[in-house]
Amino acid sequence: MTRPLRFLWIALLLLGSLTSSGATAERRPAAAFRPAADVKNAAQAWTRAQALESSRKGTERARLLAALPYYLAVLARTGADGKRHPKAPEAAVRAAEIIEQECRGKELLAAKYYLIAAFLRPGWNVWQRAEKAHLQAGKRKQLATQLKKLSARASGLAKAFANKATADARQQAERLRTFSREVSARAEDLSAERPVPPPPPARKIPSETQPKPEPAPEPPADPITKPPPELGERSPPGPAGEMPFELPGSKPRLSGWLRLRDNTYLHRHPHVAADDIKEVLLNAELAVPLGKHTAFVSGEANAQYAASDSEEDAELLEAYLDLHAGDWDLRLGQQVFSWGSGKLFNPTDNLGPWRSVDPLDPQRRGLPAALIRYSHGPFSIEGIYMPAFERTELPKLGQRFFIYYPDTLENPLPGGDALTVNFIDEDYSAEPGGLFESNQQAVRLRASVGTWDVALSYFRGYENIALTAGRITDLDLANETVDLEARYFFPRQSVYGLDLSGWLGKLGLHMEVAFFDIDDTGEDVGIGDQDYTAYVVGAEWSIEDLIGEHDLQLSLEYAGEIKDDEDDRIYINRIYMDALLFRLQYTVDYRLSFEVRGAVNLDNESSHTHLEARYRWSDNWVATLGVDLLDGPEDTFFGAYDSNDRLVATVRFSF
Amino acid sequence: MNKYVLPLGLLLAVAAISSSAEKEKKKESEPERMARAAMKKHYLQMTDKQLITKAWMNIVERNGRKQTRHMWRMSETNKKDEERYVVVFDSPPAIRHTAVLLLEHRGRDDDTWVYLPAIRKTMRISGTNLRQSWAGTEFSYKDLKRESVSANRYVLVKTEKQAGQAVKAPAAKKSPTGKKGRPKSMPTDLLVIDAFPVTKQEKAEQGYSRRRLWIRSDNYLATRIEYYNKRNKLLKTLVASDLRHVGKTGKVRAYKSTMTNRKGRRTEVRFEEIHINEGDIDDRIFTRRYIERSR
Repeated sequence: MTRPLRFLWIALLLLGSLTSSGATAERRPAAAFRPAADVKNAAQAWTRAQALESSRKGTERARLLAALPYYLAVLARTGADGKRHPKAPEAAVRAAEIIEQECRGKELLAAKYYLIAAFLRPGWNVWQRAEKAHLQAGKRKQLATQLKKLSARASGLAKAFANKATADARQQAERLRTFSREVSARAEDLSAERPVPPPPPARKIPSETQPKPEPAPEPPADPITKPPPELGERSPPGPAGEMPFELPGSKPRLSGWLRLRDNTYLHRHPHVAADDIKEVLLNAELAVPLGKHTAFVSGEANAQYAASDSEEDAELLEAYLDLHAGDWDLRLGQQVFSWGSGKLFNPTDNLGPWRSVDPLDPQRRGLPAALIRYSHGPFSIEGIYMPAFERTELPKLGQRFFIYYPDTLENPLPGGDALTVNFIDEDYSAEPGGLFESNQQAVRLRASVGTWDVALSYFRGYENIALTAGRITDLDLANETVDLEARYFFPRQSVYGLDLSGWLGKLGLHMEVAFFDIDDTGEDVGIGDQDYTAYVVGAEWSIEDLIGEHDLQLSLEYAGEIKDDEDDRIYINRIYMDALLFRLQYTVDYRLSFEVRGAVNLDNESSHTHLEARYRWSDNWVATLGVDLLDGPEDTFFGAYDSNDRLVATVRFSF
Repeated sequence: MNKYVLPLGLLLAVAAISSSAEKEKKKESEPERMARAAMKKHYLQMTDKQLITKAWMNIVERNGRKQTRHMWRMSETNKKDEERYVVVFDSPPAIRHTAVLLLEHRGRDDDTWVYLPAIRKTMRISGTNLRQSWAGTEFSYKDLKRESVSANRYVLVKTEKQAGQAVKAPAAKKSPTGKKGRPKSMPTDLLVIDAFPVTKQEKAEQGYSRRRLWIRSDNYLATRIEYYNKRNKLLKTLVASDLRHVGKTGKVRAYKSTMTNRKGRRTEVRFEEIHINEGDIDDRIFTRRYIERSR
């Protein structure tokens, strides 16, 4: 009896004892582990095993355990010519996998089946799967002995192939020789007294792009002839595999977009003359793969042209290095953060600054940071360290969206008219600064629980949208004017966040809650530095083929705050204290769509509505025509902007 | 005693009749049995442990205007027969790096996420609304999933002889003799099968009253599928062509698929490369982490 066959019988005996003793949880009668009487040969056993495994009856465990005796029968039965069925190696592997998965404590038995498969088809790297169980069972030397025999067998077959004249046979011989060397080297490692080195890495398709390797060795066609695969059979995993083609992103690539925009304001502004502002915005990004790591740079250049003046600006958005190792990611450099599942408003999104010169079209900005993330399955945890604070860029004095509020102040003289306010300056002296002195930190834990995504977050840093306090610099009672300087404060705060999103049938639901624990500024910033909780709850819904093939998508959110006190100041960092936010998109087809989005503050009856028609010329060219309508009492955020109703036309080209 | 005999007898008779009727109901007719057997083979043909593809997709409007997408897809089927896949769009620039991750689950809704690089966020999308269009195409999410054989009733309507789409050798440009041209076509038997969803879940997921499939009798690939709405009117038609053997797996795939709706809008998918069972795919690819760093 040959060595592998002896193994097989030992393994069969072991399995028999296992099933008859009822040691496993299945507690089935031993008869259930025998193939049915109508299965006469290995071919029938193979077909039956496949059918049992792929049937949908019963639990997966029941299906696998039902298929197991048939796989063993494929191994045990030989044909009239005395040869085993060509599927015998696959049957051995499948039997091993089933035992491994379903029979706890029988890993060594499974390992022996892997070795049987390796002996039956030299060249197949399944022997590696036998190693762990042998080492755990202290059978290191025995494994080394088996591997030496496997190596010798592969070497013998290689010689047989080398004697043949065909190029294929010579190639096969070379592959077998390589295989033999690998197995032999491993056997040497195992038989030596030194600690066992880690096994050769399993060749898998990497998640990172790598150079295309040489083709993997194929199992020899002789003496165990590999038959043409039968229809529908599941091929076993290949002995080796690498990405068969280059993934996108494996070469440096420049991409981005150019946007031309024209804002035509419908009302004269009391402080600013420019009624037509043209804007050019170029956004470009370059990703450079460095092996399995990536370097990424993106930037934005902006130019604004009004009738009287112009302004150009360019800024680096991102410039970071992405490093990956196993389940760990490290991102170093300037980066943009975007947190929260809310579609229209995110109270947990407090890390990065914005460019909010036009508050109706804000753009995210990056800041230097180090991010480290550990991911495992549906779970991930990340920590972020930002060494320096950067504030959100707000409209400057002299620009249309600077909040010229209040317009007037009460005259201290009895009977006098209200004093007209002149904003003369801005004071940013309280802005946190200095590398490492103004550092910020954040931690976020994300997980998927059933059909819901959950995130818990913590942020310790500064409010990046300024709180404002006015300071009177000059009071002219004769002319009834007052000069005011806007002073800005960025309180340090801790923000604890919870984020939840998922679906109930066709209704998407999400919720974000953030508790703001704010350090006292010691300045007159109203309730700006008092603790509060901001939350948003929202739903989204889509209807396909509403009229003909037209689709409708609706997002609705309610944003509110829980706080101790209230006042009637305008807080540009807290626009939605009691607001309904909405977005409705009606898609006629790929080219034409309409959108209405905006917010209504329920407590002060102010609102912003944006109506837009979008036309897509091609995949690269998109044009939009829209209108922004702002309304409300003048002491509200949107009301302060009610002279900024405008028509907006944009053309965007992507490259 | 006698007063119990008659009611008891009646009860037994009713039970026997209902039991035999139930058996009759469960017993499949010959056309149904043959159709189911063919569909099982079709299912096995379309089930791969690993599948990696690269494809161009054209969405062509009635007026001839078309939008083009380039994408690659990696999928894997685990031991529980659950499929998971990642699709990353490479072109056009406006949607470059947009990625979809789907994890199929037995007994509960699938998990589906979309990574949108423009807002740098990953959004979970509905796992139950499989009737919705996939990436704006004529395919629904359900159309892209494998056949649920146990959730449908199949009836063999007829067999047809097709002049034949020959199945090409793997990526063959030339015949073994060195002559250019298509391999010789052989007539093929086509099994024309009607598929009716029977389970509540399948009905809800599909939204079709019936599908008619043309299944080749040699490789059990569907070369044509017609989808009918609840009023039994034709909604759309899928035509699969350019059949080729993939690698050395023995599997056959259509390298071109065109889904045309009743109004003439169509989605053409042309596969550049198909790789089946070429090695285990790293588990880490089927994660949100991977699609988020696909840019």
